Amino acid sequence: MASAGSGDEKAAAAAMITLISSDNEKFEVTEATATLSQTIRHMIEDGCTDGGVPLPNVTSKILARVIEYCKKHATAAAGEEGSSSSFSDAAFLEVDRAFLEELEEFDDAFLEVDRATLFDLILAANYLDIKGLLNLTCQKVADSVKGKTPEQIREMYNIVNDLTPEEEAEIRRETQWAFE
Amino acid sequence: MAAADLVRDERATLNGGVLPADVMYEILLRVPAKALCRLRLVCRSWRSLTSDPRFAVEHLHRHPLLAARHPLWGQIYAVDMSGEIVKKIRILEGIKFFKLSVQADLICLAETKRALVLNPGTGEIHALPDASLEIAESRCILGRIPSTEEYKVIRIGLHQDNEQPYECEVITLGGGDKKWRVKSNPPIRVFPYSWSAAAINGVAYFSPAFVLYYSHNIKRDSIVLFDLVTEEWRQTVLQGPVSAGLDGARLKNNPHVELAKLSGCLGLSQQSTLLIGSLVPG
Repeated sequence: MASAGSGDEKAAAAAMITLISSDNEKFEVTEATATLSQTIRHMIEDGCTDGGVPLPNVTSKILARVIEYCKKHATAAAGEEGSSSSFSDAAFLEVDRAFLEELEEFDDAFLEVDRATLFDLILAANYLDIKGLLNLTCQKVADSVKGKTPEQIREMYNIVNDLTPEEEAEIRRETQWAFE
Repeated sequence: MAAADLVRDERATLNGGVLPADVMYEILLRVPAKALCRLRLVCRSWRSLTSDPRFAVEHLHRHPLLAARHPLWGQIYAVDMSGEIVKKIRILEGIKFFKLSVQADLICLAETKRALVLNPGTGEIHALPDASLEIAESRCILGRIPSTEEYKVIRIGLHQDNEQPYECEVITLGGGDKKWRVKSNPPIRVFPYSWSAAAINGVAYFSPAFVLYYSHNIKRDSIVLFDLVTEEWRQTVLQGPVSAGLDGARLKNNPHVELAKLSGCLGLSQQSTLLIGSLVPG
């Protein structure tokens, strides 16, 4: 047991990954946290993470947030695996529910950011290929546009209307009921 | 600080190159159908992203639609899971008294001799060739074969005279020859009203025709199977679970046994009784 423990510790120590932001800040994270990113997972599998992983598309401010998300969700994943063997089914379900609620609260609080930060998080999630984070952030934008008129959306996001009046009329004809 | 904020705000545009097209695609996939129709007016790039057939298929997976038919006008409505009408679909001129048969993402509309297949997601319409049978009345059932992802339509046609009471033919959607293939007749007579036929996993299920209840010893919950892969009728008629014991008396008085597809299973309902079974024919 003791030797197995020290072996695990050794493996865990060996499995720390250094992530380097675009502004050259270094972040040390566990492999479990880092591999929520498919991009980093592939780099680890290819054995090219020695000396740190440079992420030239992600600033330290955004990377810190992304790591915060990954840490929480990596713990959640580990918690699910670990607890299933040590609790009875009912107790496990209870723990599971509490954990999911906590995770949901974390996600809600995590999304309390300004629009520019939200977009940066989306770009980082897309670049690092973190499915959960991409889903979370894209859903947030989708929710924010779904009740708006086209004019409101253009204003919100500085979008230039490049449709000709004819094209606009055509789309309105196709989708008249959506404006009722 | 103020200057930095200004710069950041300027970057926060959706189509100014900050969010690439693949990310916009992900966002728009998560917008419900009705709102999405409206958002096609935002700009050209949003319109073209949402016009992509691949987008329509993925969007339909996330936001399932129901197809409904207006009883009088022959208009088709696509309705989302919150009950909102997201699409009205104009049907080809002259098709008025049609029946619907629906698979996951396609709807088949059929009159006696004509049929067309509609994709409610994209609004695409494929007219099928006219029936090759000389028939007075018919029903079409649309089925999907999971292994090949093929769609086939089976038509059961009724003749006016009783000498040759029915016939059946099959067509594959997008098939090369674009012809109906006339098939042998089922082991017992079927006439598929929309509520007495269902197609699940490459098999079409039919209830027997009414007339058999009285003149033959055919139970009302018998089920006749047509294999859409081999395009042949199964010679064995399955016995439904209703007549087997529980509710024989009620079954006798109420002839309607309805068949429907429910979450990939075959559902049988008879008045107030609903039975859901996963029927895996051997």
